[in-house]
Amino acid sequence: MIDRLLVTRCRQGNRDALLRIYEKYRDSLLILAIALSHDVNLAEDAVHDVFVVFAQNIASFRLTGSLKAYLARCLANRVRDLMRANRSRAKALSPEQACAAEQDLNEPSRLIACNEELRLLSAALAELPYEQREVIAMHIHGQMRFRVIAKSMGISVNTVKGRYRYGIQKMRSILNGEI
Amino acid sequence: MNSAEKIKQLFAKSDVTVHSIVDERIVGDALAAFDKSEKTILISAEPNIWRMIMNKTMTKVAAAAAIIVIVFVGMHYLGVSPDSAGVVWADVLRNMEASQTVTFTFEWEKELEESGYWWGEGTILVKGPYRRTDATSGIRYGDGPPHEDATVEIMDLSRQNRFVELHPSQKLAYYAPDHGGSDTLLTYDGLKKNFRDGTEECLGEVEIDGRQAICFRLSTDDKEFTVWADPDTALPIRIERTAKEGIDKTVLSNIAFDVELSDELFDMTLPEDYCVMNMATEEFKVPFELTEAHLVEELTTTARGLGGTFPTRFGRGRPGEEALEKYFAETRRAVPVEGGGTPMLGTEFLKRLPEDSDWQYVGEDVKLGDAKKPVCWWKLPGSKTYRVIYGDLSIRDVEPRDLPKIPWLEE
Repeated sequence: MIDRLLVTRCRQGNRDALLRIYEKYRDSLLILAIALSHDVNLAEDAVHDVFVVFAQNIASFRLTGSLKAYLARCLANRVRDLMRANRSRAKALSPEQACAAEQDLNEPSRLIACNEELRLLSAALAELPYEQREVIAMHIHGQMRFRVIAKSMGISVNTVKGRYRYGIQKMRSILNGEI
Repeated sequence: MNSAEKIKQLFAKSDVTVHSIVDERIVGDALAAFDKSEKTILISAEPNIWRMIMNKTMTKVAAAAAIIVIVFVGMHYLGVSPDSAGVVWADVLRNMEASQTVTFTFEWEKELEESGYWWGEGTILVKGPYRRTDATSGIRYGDGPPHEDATVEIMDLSRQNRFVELHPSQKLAYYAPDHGGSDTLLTYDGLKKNFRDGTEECLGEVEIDGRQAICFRLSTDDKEFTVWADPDTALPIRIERTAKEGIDKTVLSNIAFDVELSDELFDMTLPEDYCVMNMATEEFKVPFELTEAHLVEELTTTARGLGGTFPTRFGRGRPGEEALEKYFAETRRAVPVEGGGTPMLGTEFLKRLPEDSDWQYVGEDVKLGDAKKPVCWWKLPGSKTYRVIYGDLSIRDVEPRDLPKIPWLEE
């Protein structure tokens, strides 16, 4: 079913339509959140928060473009906020507590398991400053145009392109020969 | 395949397996929020809020006041000072818009994640859509040594942001036919846009650098600007920008408008003796033949950056997650090496080896100077022997049967 119809049904109170949207975009958003944060727990929380807020505000929501891009944009903002909050929390923790709080994508008991490609991608992106990582992930995975990313982030297109360029340049050396 | 394609493929192949507990949590909370939210009400059933508000007398007065404010702001923006005295922000904006060229010096500093620190200084020349930046920038991580690099960047904003970035010390150039780059503030148009969009406040007349100036403060969503303007010309003489979060400060000074700038300063011709990378296609043009000496040079630089030990991987290496994590950890602690020559030439040499050259990297944990341990090898088509680079950077011809035994290669 097309997104516009799903959103309309949601706005009319159809719970099934909300579930269909969740099922349709869950994996894509989790992959994006893991790629951005390199932290499965944080990614899960971010996707959770995005869907809860989306559901909460459905009455006033108007779909003007791509639903996928909209959710990706909300998710990137939420990941950024959660990472910032985690950093502040980590500063207040002892080094041992901070180590224990770090997430390991390979941990087998995890409720969300990542495949090899996602682990490699996430580890490589984690080498970049967050701003570059965000632009690369939103452009390549979120299929958002530079202009749309710039608008959503409140920065110039040139800055977005610059971040993308420098990020790709660094990824080139990180990924060289790894795949 | 370029990096963007590689990343695209990785994203396409990325997958997650989600336990039903996660779904239950997210869906449960989302549905609970959904049930509490107000759904669409038919428009005919909605009261006409606008009409109700406008029927109140006080609202009418407030609306009239708002119109007066808009007119006042419009006059202010157009440079009409209500008291007709002194320099107002609109004067500064209008004069900046009217200037054909501008030059200034800049200094900036920025705090990076993981205790990194980044700074830069230089000169910017702007002529119409062209911008030239002569800069020296440096970066330092933790307690490591700082690493500085001088660059010349020329952008043509009228042609989809075509740019050329030259690194004279390495004879290296990056260029792109339609790529953006650099900070918004340092593109003059970006600066003016910030000035147009921000909310300004006049702080009155102050003294700066021994001269009188009118000081303005501007605020945008994420930045604060302080602009000191000459009271006679109504043009900025100093601009400071600070990010509202973290350390990110830029200072523009020695600002001069409408100075004569030769077109040659904005010539985007690439020097013939430079290695040139097209950032759009990642095609790397090297104006000389790449040899194994370039590979040796890059291996040496990489090992020096890691304190004298070769990296776990270089193009290839021991497979597996553990090796990958170790390699990433090395990447994090690697420090830039002064005089390392043009980067990427060794990697480029590898990329250009024929497909069946059996390139292998086995340099993990090998110390720089160790003559007994191999770092890598390859065999050119038609050759009966392998070229093997050892830890002391010597290169020897080795029969296939005599290749050093590496346990993980035997598995």
